[in-house]
This record gives sequence, C-alpha cells and structure tokens, in this order.
Amino acid sequence: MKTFELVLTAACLFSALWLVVLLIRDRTPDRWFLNVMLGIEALLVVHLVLGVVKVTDAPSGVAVWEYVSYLVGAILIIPAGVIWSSGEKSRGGTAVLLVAVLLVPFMFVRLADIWAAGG
Amino acid sequence: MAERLTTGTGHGFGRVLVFVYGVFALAATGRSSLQLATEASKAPLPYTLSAFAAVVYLVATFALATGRRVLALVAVTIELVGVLSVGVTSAVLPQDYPDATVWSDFGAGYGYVPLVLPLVGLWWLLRGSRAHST
Repeated sequence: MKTFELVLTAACLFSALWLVVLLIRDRTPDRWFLNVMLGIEALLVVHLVLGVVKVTDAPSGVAVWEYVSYLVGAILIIPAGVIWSSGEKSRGGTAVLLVAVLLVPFMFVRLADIWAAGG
Repeated sequence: MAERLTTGTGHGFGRVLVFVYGVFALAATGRSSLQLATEASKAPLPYTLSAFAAVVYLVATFALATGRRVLALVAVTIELVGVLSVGVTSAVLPQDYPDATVWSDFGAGYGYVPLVLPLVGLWWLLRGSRAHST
C-alpha cells in the first residue's frame, strides 16, 4: 500500500506539473492526458481495495469509518474533477484538474494520520 | 445580460472556486454527519459547528455554481466570520474544543484553506459584481 501510494503520488505530482505547463501556455489537456487520469483512477480503485483489506486488520484505536471514508473520497476526486472541468475549456477547467490531482496525495497524508492516531 | 449574470460566478476562475467549495462541502458534510451519528455526546459544540460549516459550504457551492451572487456573498461572509471566530475561540478556550472542527485554529488541519477560501470567494464575488454593474 505504501509503494502504491508513492507511485500514485509521483503520478499525481507529474500530472500537476504538466497541468501547470498547460496553464502557463493557456492550453487545455488533450486526450492523452485523459488517459493518464484514467490510469490514476484505476490505481486509486486498487488502492481502495488494498485499504479496505488493510483496515479489517487495524489496531482497535483506528477510526475505521473515517479511514474508509477517506479511501472512498480518494476515488471520487479525479472523476469529479474531470467531469467538472470538461464543461469549461479554458484555464479555469485546467485549474480544476490541478486542484484534483493535488488533492489525491493530501488524502494519503490524512489516511496515514488517521492510522497513526489510532495505532 | 440577465443570463450572463446568472452564470457569471461559476465560470473561468469561478470554476475552480466552485470545485474547491464542493470538496469542502462534501468533506464537511461527511465529517460532521459521521461525528454526529457516532459520538455526538463526546463534543457537542465542535460537532454542531462542523455541521453548521457543512451547511454553509453547501449553500456557498450551490450559490456560486448557479450564479446566485447575493446568496453566495451571504454564505461566504458567514464562512469568513465563522472561521475567524472559531479560530480565535479555539485558541483562547481550547477546553471547549475537545475535538477539531473544520474551522479550528483557522483551518490549520486543512492547510489554512478554510481561512483563505472565503477571502478568495469575496474577492471573486465583489470583483465580478463590479465588472457586471458597469
């Protein structure tokens, strides 16, 4: 799960960098970028499964429902961002995606915090 | 003209603003309903405040997305007052806040975004209304 989160964080930060380049050049993401989002989302679904498996064996202090809600929240971010940005073919839409890909690593930080608080 | 007024706040930069507000609306709603459902008696004040914050974020998101400028201004102003007063009181009277709310310590748990968000929101709304009124 740790390795998974590292790979996902790297992918998200790479995407964020790319989106910043697009923002500066005032371009909108192309189809290729949509595939990257799709890939990240697929990995996030696997991450959800791994997380749920992990939480079944959690120390008693871990807030299980909070943990699971962050896991579920993490898979909603990218689709929400893609859908919401698709209606706006401008810098605004690109910036929505930037916020979305930066939110994903933040969710990992929260998940680790929740785990550490209960462990 | 009227049409542009009703869609103005949710486009361009507003698109990002609505997205961030939406995230906070969801997060605050989820957090507060979970807290109120499972451990309401543990810390009634912060959890009630969390629920209040959730409603404010929901209203702000809806108003910004649908271009209801006045409603958005009201919600964002309440949000600013809320984050400032909860921020101050949680620093002065920490014993009243056994568990954190979205607005505790000026939103430090959320990277101070809850503090910056209403300021950005007000800037966006007031800037937009000036542009529209001319």
